Amino acid sequence: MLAVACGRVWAQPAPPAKPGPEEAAKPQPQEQLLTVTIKEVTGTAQRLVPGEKPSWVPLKAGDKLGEQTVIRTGLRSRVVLAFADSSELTIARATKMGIAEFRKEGPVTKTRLGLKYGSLRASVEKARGPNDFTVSTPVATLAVTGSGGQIGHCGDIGSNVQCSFGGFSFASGSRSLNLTGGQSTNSRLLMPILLTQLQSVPQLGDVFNGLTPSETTSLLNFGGGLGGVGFLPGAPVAIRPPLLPIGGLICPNGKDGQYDGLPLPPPE
Amino acid sequence: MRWATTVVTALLAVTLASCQAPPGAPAIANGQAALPGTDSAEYLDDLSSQPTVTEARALEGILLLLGQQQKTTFAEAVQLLIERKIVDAAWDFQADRAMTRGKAAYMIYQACNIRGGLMLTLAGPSRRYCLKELQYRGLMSPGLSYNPVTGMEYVAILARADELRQTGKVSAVMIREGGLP
Repeated sequence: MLAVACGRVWAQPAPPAKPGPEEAAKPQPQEQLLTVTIKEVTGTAQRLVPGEKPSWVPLKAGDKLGEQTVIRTGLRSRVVLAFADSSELTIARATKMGIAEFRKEGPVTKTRLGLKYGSLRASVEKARGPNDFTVSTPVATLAVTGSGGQIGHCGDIGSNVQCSFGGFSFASGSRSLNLTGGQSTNSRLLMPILLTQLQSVPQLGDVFNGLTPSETTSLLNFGGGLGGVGFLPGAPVAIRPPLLPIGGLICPNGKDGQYDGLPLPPPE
Repeated sequence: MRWATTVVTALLAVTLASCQAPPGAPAIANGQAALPGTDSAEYLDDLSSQPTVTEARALEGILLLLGQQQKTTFAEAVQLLIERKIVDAAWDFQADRAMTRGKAAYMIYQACNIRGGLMLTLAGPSRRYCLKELQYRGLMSPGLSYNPVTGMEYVAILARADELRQTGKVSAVMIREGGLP
Protein backbone atom coordinates (compact mmCIF):
# COMPACT_ATOMS: atom_id res chain seq x y z
CA MET A 1 0.00 0.00 0.00
CA LEU A 2 2.78 2.34 0.99
CA ALA A 3 4.63 1.59 -2.22
CA VAL A 4 1.51 2.20 -4.27
CA ALA A 5 0.83 5.45 -2.47
CA CYS A 6 4.43 6.55 -2.92
CA GLY A 7 4.30 5.53 -6.54
CA ARG A 8 1.27 7.72 -7.09
CA VAL A 9 2.98 10.63 -5.44
CA TRP A 10 6.11 10.11 -7.52
CA ALA A 11 4.06 9.73 -10.68
CA GLN A 12 2.53 13.15 -10.28
CA PRO A 13 4.15 15.83 -12.39
CA ALA A 14 6.49 17.99 -10.40
CA PRO A 15 5.40 21.61 -9.98
CA PRO A 16 7.35 24.04 -12.12
CA ALA A 17 10.48 25.04 -10.26
CA LYS A 18 10.76 28.71 -9.45
CA PRO A 19 13.91 30.25 -10.89
CA GLY A 20 16.52 30.88 -8.29
CA PRO A 21 18.25 34.22 -7.94
CA GLU A 22 21.21 33.04 -10.05
CA GLU A 23 19.00 31.78 -12.89
CA ALA A 24 16.90 34.95 -12.81
CA ALA A 25 20.04 37.00 -13.16
CA LYS A 26 21.06 35.10 -16.31
CA PRO A 27 20.19 36.96 -19.51
CA GLN A 28 17.43 35.05 -21.34
CA PRO A 29 17.87 34.79 -25.11
CA GLN A 30 15.62 37.30 -26.82
CA GLU A 31 13.04 35.92 -29.20
CA GLN A 32 12.29 37.83 -32.32
CA LEU A 33 9.69 36.67 -34.81
CA LEU A 34 10.89 36.70 -38.41
CA THR A 35 8.98 36.80 -41.65
CA VAL A 36 9.08 34.78 -44.82
CA THR A 37 8.60 36.48 -48.18
CA ILE A 38 7.07 34.84 -51.22
CA LYS A 39 9.65 35.26 -53.93
CA GLU A 40 7.98 33.48 -56.81
CA VAL A 41 4.69 31.72 -57.49
CA THR A 42 3.90 29.50 -60.46
CA GLY A 43 0.55 27.79 -60.94
CA THR A 44 -1.95 27.19 -58.15
CA ALA A 45 -0.68 27.94 -54.64
CA GLN A 46 -2.74 28.85 -51.61
CA ARG A 47 -2.30 29.58 -47.93
CA LEU A 48 -4.68 28.92 -45.10
CA VAL A 49 -6.14 31.93 -43.35
CA PRO A 50 -7.07 30.79 -39.84
CA GLY A 51 -10.17 31.97 -38.03
CA GLU A 52 -13.60 30.74 -37.13
CA LYS A 53 -14.15 29.75 -40.73
CA PRO A 54 -10.70 28.99 -42.16
CA SER A 55 -10.34 29.76 -45.84
CA TRP A 56 -7.69 29.30 -48.50
CA VAL A 57 -6.44 32.37 -50.37
CA PRO A 58 -4.14 32.43 -53.41
CA LEU A 59 -0.49 33.23 -52.80
CA LYS A 60 1.23 35.96 -54.77
CA ALA A 61 4.79 37.16 -55.01
CA GLY A 62 5.71 39.65 -52.31
CA ASP A 63 3.35 38.27 -49.64
CA LYS A 64 4.77 38.18 -46.12
CA LEU A 65 4.17 35.06 -44.07
CA GLY A 66 4.66 34.41 -40.39
CA GLU A 67 4.53 31.44 -38.11
CA GLN A 68 1.61 28.99 -38.19
CA THR A 69 1.17 29.31 -41.93
CA VAL A 70 -0.02 26.37 -44.02
CA ILE A 71 0.63 26.34 -47.77
CA ARG A 72 -0.61 23.95 -50.43
CA THR A 73 0.27 23.76 -54.11
CA GLY A 74 -1.44 22.06 -57.03
CA LEU A 75 -0.19 20.35 -60.16
CA ARG A 76 2.22 22.29 -62.40
CA SER A 77 2.92 24.63 -59.48
CA ARG A 78 5.93 25.94 -57.62
CA VAL A 79 6.51 28.44 -54.85
CA VAL A 80 9.84 29.93 -53.77
CA LEU A 81 10.07 31.26 -50.21
CA ALA A 82 12.83 33.63 -49.11
CA PHE A 83 13.56 33.48 -45.41
CA ALA A 84 14.83 36.50 -43.51
CA ASP A 85 18.15 34.75 -42.83
CA SER A 86 18.76 34.38 -46.61
CA SER A 87 17.74 30.73 -46.64
CA GLU A 88 15.57 29.70 -49.53
CA LEU A 89 12.91 27.05 -49.83
CA THR A 90 11.28 25.81 -53.02
CA ILE A 91 7.92 24.12 -52.63
CA ALA A 92 7.34 21.73 -55.49
CA ARG A 93 4.09 20.67 -57.14
CA ALA A 94 1.40 18.78 -55.20
CA THR A 95 2.74 19.71 -51.80
CA LYS A 96 1.21 20.68 -48.48
CA MET A 97 3.55 22.12 -45.89
CA GLY A 98 3.50 24.43 -42.92
CA ILE A 99 5.74 26.95 -41.21
CA ALA A 100 5.42 26.14 -37.53
CA GLU A 101 8.17 28.41 -36.21
CA PHE A 102 10.51 30.96 -37.69
CA ARG A 103 12.18 33.14 -35.11
CA LYS A 104 15.51 34.28 -33.80
CA GLU A 105 16.42 33.00 -30.35
CA GLY A 106 19.54 34.87 -29.36
CA PRO A 107 22.08 34.29 -32.11
CA VAL A 108 20.27 31.18 -33.43
CA THR A 109 17.66 31.32 -36.20
CA LYS A 110 15.10 28.64 -35.44
CA THR A 111 12.98 27.25 -38.27
CA ARG A 112 10.46 24.45 -37.90
CA LEU A 113 8.66 23.26 -41.02
CA GLY A 114 6.18 20.45 -41.52
CA LEU A 115 5.57 18.47 -44.70
CA LYS A 116 2.38 16.47 -45.12
CA TYR A 117 2.93 15.39 -48.72
CA GLY A 118 5.02 16.48 -51.69
CA SER A 119 8.59 17.70 -51.78
CA LEU A 120 10.71 20.66 -50.73
CA ARG A 121 14.12 21.86 -51.82
CA ALA A 122 15.94 23.77 -49.10
CA SER A 123 19.06 25.89 -49.25
CA VAL A 124 20.02 26.95 -45.75
CA GLU A 125 22.37 29.87 -45.26
CA LYS A 126 24.71 29.74 -42.30
CA ALA A 127 26.86 32.73 -43.18
CA ARG A 128 24.54 34.98 -41.14
CA GLY A 129 24.95 32.99 -37.96
CA PRO A 130 23.99 29.62 -36.53
CA ASN A 131 20.64 28.15 -37.44
CA ASP A 132 18.40 25.35 -36.32
CA PHE A 133 16.43 24.33 -39.40
CA THR A 134 14.29 21.19 -39.33
CA VAL A 135 11.65 19.70 -41.59
CA SER A 136 9.24 17.16 -40.07
CA THR A 137 7.27 14.65 -42.09
CA PRO A 138 4.75 12.19 -40.63
CA VAL A 139 7.53 9.61 -40.31
CA ALA A 140 10.85 11.42 -40.03
CA THR A 141 12.63 14.64 -39.17
CA LEU A 142 15.35 16.28 -41.18
CA ALA A 143 17.81 18.70 -39.58
CA VAL A 144 19.65 20.95 -42.02
CA THR A 145 22.64 23.07 -41.05
CA GLY A 146 24.27 25.23 -43.67
CA SER A 147 23.48 22.93 -46.52
CA GLY A 148 21.11 22.24 -49.35
CA GLY A 149 19.08 19.36 -50.60
CA GLN A 150 15.66 17.96 -51.20
CA ILE A 151 13.15 16.11 -49.04
CA GLY A 152 10.00 14.42 -50.22
CA HIS A 153 7.20 12.57 -48.52
CA CYS A 154 4.68 10.36 -50.28
CA GLY A 155 1.84 8.40 -48.73
CA ASP A 156 2.91 5.15 -50.35
CA ILE A 157 6.69 5.10 -50.02
CA GLY A 158 7.37 7.31 -47.01
CA SER A 159 10.06 9.98 -46.85
CA ASN A 160 13.14 10.32 -49.01
CA VAL A 161 15.94 12.81 -48.62
CA GLN A 162 18.79 13.82 -50.90
CA CYS A 163 21.68 16.00 -49.71
CA SER A 164 23.22 18.20 -52.41
CA PHE A 165 25.91 19.90 -50.34
CA GLY A 166 26.79 20.43 -46.69
CA GLY A 167 25.34 18.07 -44.11
CA PHE A 168 21.97 16.63 -43.16
CA SER A 169 20.88 14.72 -40.10
CA PHE A 170 17.90 12.53 -40.87
CA ALA A 171 16.02 10.94 -37.97
CA SER A 172 13.25 8.37 -38.12
CA GLY A 173 11.95 6.99 -34.85
CA SER A 174 14.83 6.58 -32.44
CA ARG A 175 17.47 6.18 -35.15
CA SER A 176 19.26 8.84 -37.15
CA LEU A 177 21.70 9.03 -40.04
CA ASN A 178 24.08 11.79 -41.06
CA LEU A 179 24.41 12.55 -44.75
CA THR A 180 26.93 14.59 -46.67
CA GLY A 181 26.85 16.01 -50.18
CA GLY A 182 25.61 13.62 -52.83
CA GLN A 183 24.15 11.10 -50.41
CA SER A 184 20.53 10.11 -50.03
CA THR A 185 18.41 7.89 -47.84
CA ASN A 186 14.79 7.19 -46.99
CA SER A 187 12.65 6.86 -43.89
CA ARG A 188 13.91 3.32 -43.39
CA LEU A 189 17.35 4.94 -43.08
CA LEU A 190 18.92 2.75 -45.74
CA MET A 191 22.62 3.43 -46.10
CA PRO A 192 23.36 5.69 -49.09
CA ILE A 193 25.58 3.05 -50.73
CA LEU A 194 22.74 0.56 -50.47
CA LEU A 195 20.37 2.91 -52.27
CA THR A 196 22.95 3.28 -55.03
CA GLN A 197 23.16 -0.50 -55.34
CA LEU A 198 19.40 -0.79 -55.45
CA GLN A 199 19.33 1.53 -58.44
CA SER A 200 21.10 -1.19 -60.41
CA VAL A 201 18.64 -3.94 -59.49
CA PRO A 202 15.39 -4.01 -61.47
CA GLN A 203 12.50 -4.81 -59.17
CA LEU A 204 9.00 -5.86 -60.10
CA GLY A 205 8.00 -6.45 -56.50
CA ASP A 206 9.42 -5.83 -53.10
CA VAL A 207 12.03 -8.56 -53.20
CA PHE A 208 13.62 -7.42 -49.95
CA ASN A 209 10.44 -7.61 -47.93
CA GLY A 210 11.05 -8.01 -44.22
CA LEU A 211 14.83 -8.16 -44.40
CA THR A 212 17.20 -6.14 -42.28
CA PRO A 213 19.59 -3.76 -44.06
CA SER A 214 22.52 -6.12 -43.42
CA GLU A 215 20.61 -9.06 -44.93
CA THR A 216 19.70 -6.96 -47.94
CA THR A 217 23.34 -5.95 -48.36
CA SER A 218 24.39 -9.57 -48.18
CA LEU A 219 21.89 -10.52 -50.87
CA LEU A 220 23.06 -7.70 -53.11
CA ASN A 221 26.71 -8.69 -52.67
CA PHE A 222 26.46 -12.47 -52.75
CA GLY A 223 23.16 -13.26 -54.45
CA GLY A 224 20.33 -15.38 -53.15
CA GLY A 225 22.22 -18.65 -52.77
CA LEU A 226 20.68 -20.16 -55.87
CA GLY A 227 23.97 -20.82 -57.66
CA GLY A 228 23.79 -20.49 -61.44
CA VAL A 229 20.11 -19.56 -61.46
CA GLY A 230 20.43 -17.01 -58.72
CA PHE A 231 20.60 -13.99 -60.98
CA LEU A 232 18.05 -12.18 -58.85
CA PRO A 233 19.17 -10.85 -55.48
CA GLY A 234 16.58 -12.83 -53.56
CA ALA A 235 13.58 -15.05 -53.97
CA PRO A 236 10.32 -13.17 -54.51
CA VAL A 237 8.33 -13.00 -51.31
CA ALA A 238 4.80 -12.09 -50.37
CA ILE A 239 3.73 -8.57 -51.15
CA ARG A 240 3.03 -6.62 -48.02
CA PRO A 241 0.63 -3.76 -47.35
CA PRO A 242 1.83 -0.15 -47.66
CA LEU A 243 5.08 0.33 -45.83
CA LEU A 244 4.32 3.15 -43.46
CA PRO A 245 1.34 4.20 -41.39
CA ILE A 246 -0.07 7.46 -42.62
CA GLY A 247 -0.76 10.07 -40.02
CA GLY A 248 -0.26 7.62 -37.21
CA LEU A 249 2.86 9.10 -35.73
CA ILE A 250 2.10 12.77 -35.78
CA CYS A 251 -1.39 13.80 -34.84
CA PRO A 252 -1.38 17.34 -33.46
CA ASN A 253 -5.01 17.54 -32.51
CA GLY A 254 -5.74 13.86 -32.09
CA LYS A 255 -8.54 14.13 -34.64
CA ASP A 256 -9.15 11.24 -36.97
CA GLY A 257 -5.46 10.49 -37.24
CA GLN A 258 -5.03 13.47 -39.51
CA TYR A 259 -1.84 15.41 -39.89
CA ASP A 260 -2.28 19.05 -40.77
CA GLY A 261 1.13 19.83 -42.17
CA LEU A 262 2.67 21.25 -39.02
CA PRO A 263 5.01 19.61 -36.53
CA LEU A 264 3.70 18.75 -33.13
CA PRO A 265 3.16 21.80 -30.93
CA PRO A 266 5.38 22.01 -27.87
CA PRO A 267 3.86 20.46 -24.73
CA GLU A 268 2.12 23.01 -22.56
CA MET B 1 -3.95 -29.90 -94.79
CA ARG B 2 -6.68 -27.59 -95.93
CA TRP B 3 -8.83 -28.32 -92.89
CA ALA B 4 -5.90 -27.54 -90.60
CA THR B 5 -5.43 -24.16 -92.26
CA THR B 6 -9.14 -23.45 -91.88
CA VAL B 7 -9.09 -24.32 -88.19
CA VAL B 8 -6.04 -22.13 -87.55
CA THR B 9 -7.63 -19.23 -89.45
CA ALA B 10 -10.87 -19.61 -87.51
CA LEU B 11 -9.02 -19.72 -84.20
CA LEU B 12 -7.04 -16.62 -85.18
CA ALA B 13 -10.22 -14.79 -86.14
CA VAL B 14 -11.88 -15.70 -82.85
CA THR B 15 -8.80 -14.60 -80.88
CA LEU B 16 -8.57 -11.26 -82.67
CA ALA B 17 -12.29 -10.64 -82.31
CA SER B 18 -12.12 -11.30 -78.59
CA CYS B 19 -9.39 -8.66 -78.22
CA GLN B 20 -11.57 -5.94 -79.67
CA ALA B 21 -13.67 -3.68 -77.50
CA PRO B 22 -17.36 -4.58 -77.42
CA PRO B 23 -19.43 -2.40 -79.73
CA GLY B 24 -21.75 0.26 -78.37
CA ALA B 25 -21.57 2.72 -75.51
CA PRO B 26 -19.53 1.85 -72.41
CA ALA B 27 -21.38 0.64 -69.31
CA ILE B 28 -21.54 3.60 -66.94
CA ALA B 29 -23.32 3.41 -63.59
CA ASN B 30 -24.31 6.59 -61.78
CA GLY B 31 -23.07 8.65 -64.71
CA GLN B 32 -24.81 11.82 -63.49
CA ALA B 33 -22.49 12.09 -60.49
CA ALA B 34 -21.04 15.61 -60.55
CA LEU B 35 -17.34 16.34 -60.75
CA PRO B 36 -17.11 19.74 -59.04
CA GLY B 37 -14.18 21.12 -61.06
CA THR B 38 -12.10 22.26 -58.08
CA ASP B 39 -8.54 23.47 -58.56
CA SER B 40 -5.77 20.93 -58.25
CA ALA B 41 -4.46 22.21 -54.89
CA GLU B 42 -7.85 21.78 -53.23
CA TYR B 43 -8.42 18.46 -54.98
CA LEU B 44 -5.12 17.01 -53.75
CA ASP B 45 -5.59 18.33 -50.22
CA ASP B 46 -9.05 16.84 -49.99
CA LEU B 47 -7.98 13.55 -51.52
CA SER B 48 -5.05 13.16 -49.12
CA SER B 49 -7.51 12.64 -46.26
CA GLN B 50 -9.57 9.97 -48.02
CA PRO B 51 -9.02 6.28 -47.25
CA THR B 52 -9.97 5.27 -50.81
CA VAL B 53 -10.46 7.00 -54.14
CA THR B 54 -13.69 6.54 -56.05
CA GLU B 55 -13.66 6.19 -59.83
CA ALA B 56 -15.29 9.62 -60.15
CA ARG B 57 -12.60 11.28 -58.06
CA ALA B 58 -9.86 9.39 -59.88
CA LEU B 59 -11.11 10.55 -63.28
CA GLU B 60 -11.31 14.10 -61.95
CA GLY B 61 -7.63 13.81 -61.03
CA ILE B 62 -6.71 12.62 -64.51
CA LEU B 63 -8.60 15.57 -66.01
CA LEU B 64 -6.62 17.93 -63.76
CA LEU B 65 -3.43 16.17 -64.80
CA LEU B 66 -4.34 16.86 -68.42
CA GLY B 67 -4.98 20.52 -67.53
CA GLN B 68 -8.75 20.31 -67.92
CA GLN B 69 -10.27 21.84 -64.83
CA GLN B 70 -13.99 21.88 -65.57
CA LYS B 71 -17.30 21.19 -63.94
CA THR B 72 -18.69 18.08 -65.56
CA THR B 73 -20.41 14.79 -64.92
CA PHE B 74 -18.89 11.36 -64.52
CA ALA B 75 -20.35 10.14 -67.81
CA GLU B 76 -18.95 13.12 -69.72
CA ALA B 77 -15.54 12.61 -68.13
CA VAL B 78 -15.58 8.94 -69.16
CA GLN B 79 -16.46 9.84 -72.75
CA LEU B 80 -13.76 12.48 -72.90
CA LEU B 81 -11.11 10.10 -71.57
CA ILE B 82 -12.22 7.31 -73.92
CA GLU B 83 -11.77 9.68 -76.86
CA ARG B 84 -8.26 10.47 -75.68
CA LYS B 85 -7.56 6.74 -75.10
CA ILE B 86 -6.77 7.36 -71.44
CA VAL B 87 -9.33 4.77 -70.34
CA ASP B 88 -10.42 1.59 -72.09
CA ALA B 89 -13.95 1.67 -73.51
CA ALA B 90 -14.33 -2.01 -72.60
CA TRP B 91 -14.26 -1.27 -68.87
CA ASP B 92 -17.42 -0.90 -66.87
CA PHE B 93 -17.51 2.39 -64.99
CA GLN B 94 -19.15 3.07 -61.65
CA ALA B 95 -18.81 6.52 -60.10
CA ASP B 96 -18.84 5.52 -56.45
CA ARG B 97 -16.77 2.32 -56.72
CA ALA B 98 -13.20 2.29 -55.42
CA MET B 99 -10.56 2.82 -58.10
CA THR B 100 -8.18 -0.13 -58.47
CA ARG B 101 -4.42 0.14 -58.82
CA GLY B 102 -4.56 -1.54 -62.22
CA LYS B 103 -6.96 1.02 -63.68
CA ALA B 104 -5.01 3.89 -62.13
CA ALA B 105 -1.79 2.52 -63.63
CA TYR B 106 -3.41 2.17 -67.07
CA MET B 107 -4.63 5.78 -67.00
CA ILE B 108 -1.28 7.17 -65.84
CA TYR B 109 0.57 5.07 -68.43
CA GLN B 110 -1.60 6.46 -71.20
CA ALA B 111 -1.69 10.05 -69.89
CA CYS B 112 2.10 10.20 -69.58
CA ASN B 113 2.68 8.48 -72.92
CA ILE B 114 5.11 6.01 -71.36
CA ARG B 115 6.85 3.50 -73.61
CA GLY B 116 6.57 0.09 -72.00
CA GLY B 117 8.43 -3.18 -72.32
CA LEU B 118 7.98 -6.17 -74.61
CA MET B 119 4.51 -7.27 -73.51
CA LEU B 120 3.12 -3.73 -73.60
CA THR B 121 4.63 -3.16 -77.02
CA LEU B 122 3.29 -6.41 -78.47
CA ALA B 123 -0.10 -6.67 -76.77
CA GLY B 124 -0.88 -3.02 -76.09
CA PRO B 125 -1.61 -1.49 -72.70
CA SER B 126 -3.37 -3.57 -70.07
CA ARG B 127 -4.03 -2.97 -66.40
CA ARG B 128 -1.69 -5.75 -65.31
CA TYR B 129 1.34 -4.79 -67.39
CA CYS B 130 0.86 -1.04 -66.97
CA LEU B 131 0.99 -1.57 -63.22
CA LYS B 132 4.13 -3.68 -63.54
CA GLU B 133 5.74 -1.04 -65.74
CA LEU B 134 4.96 1.76 -63.30
CA GLN B 135 6.19 -0.35 -60.38
CA TYR B 136 9.39 -1.05 -62.28
CA ARG B 137 9.90 2.67 -62.79
CA GLY B 138 9.24 3.35 -59.08
CA LEU B 139 6.16 5.41 -59.89
CA MET B 140 3.85 3.08 -57.97
CA SER B 141 4.43 1.01 -54.86
CA PRO B 142 4.07 -2.79 -54.75
CA GLY B 143 0.56 -4.17 -54.74
CA LEU B 144 -1.89 -6.13 -56.83
CA SER B 145 -3.85 -4.92 -59.82
CA TYR B 146 -7.25 -5.29 -58.17
CA ASN B 147 -6.34 -3.60 -54.88
CA PRO B 148 -7.97 -0.23 -54.21
CA VAL B 149 -5.89 2.94 -54.26
CA THR B 150 -5.71 5.07 -51.11
CA GLY B 151 -6.06 8.84 -51.21
CA MET B 152 -2.47 9.59 -50.19
CA GLU B 153 -1.18 7.06 -52.69
CA TYR B 154 -3.16 8.62 -55.53
CA VAL B 155 -1.86 12.08 -54.58
CA ALA B 156 1.68 10.74 -54.81
CA ILE B 157 1.01 9.03 -58.14
CA LEU B 158 -0.48 12.21 -59.63
CA ALA B 159 2.47 14.28 -58.39
CA ARG B 160 4.95 11.90 -60.05
CA ALA B 161 2.90 11.73 -63.24
CA ASP B 162 2.71 15.52 -63.43
CA GLU B 163 6.47 15.85 -63.00
CA LEU B 164 7.05 13.16 -65.61
CA ARG B 165 4.77 14.93 -68.08
CA GLN B 166 6.38 18.32 -67.47
CA THR B 167 10.07 17.42 -67.19
CA GLY B 168 10.39 13.92 -68.62
CA LYS B 169 11.73 12.52 -65.32
CA VAL B 170 10.79 12.23 -61.67
CA SER B 171 12.99 13.53 -58.86
CA ALA B 172 14.70 10.88 -56.77
CA VAL B 173 12.99 11.89 -53.53
CA MET B 174 9.58 11.14 -55.02
CA ILE B 175 10.16 7.60 -56.27
CA ARG B 176 10.55 4.28 -54.52
CA GLU B 177 14.04 2.98 -53.89
CA GLY B 178 15.29 1.03 -56.85
CA GLY B 179 12.99 2.80 -59.29
CA LEU B 180 14.37 4.31 -62.45
CA PRO B 181 15.06 8.03 -61.79
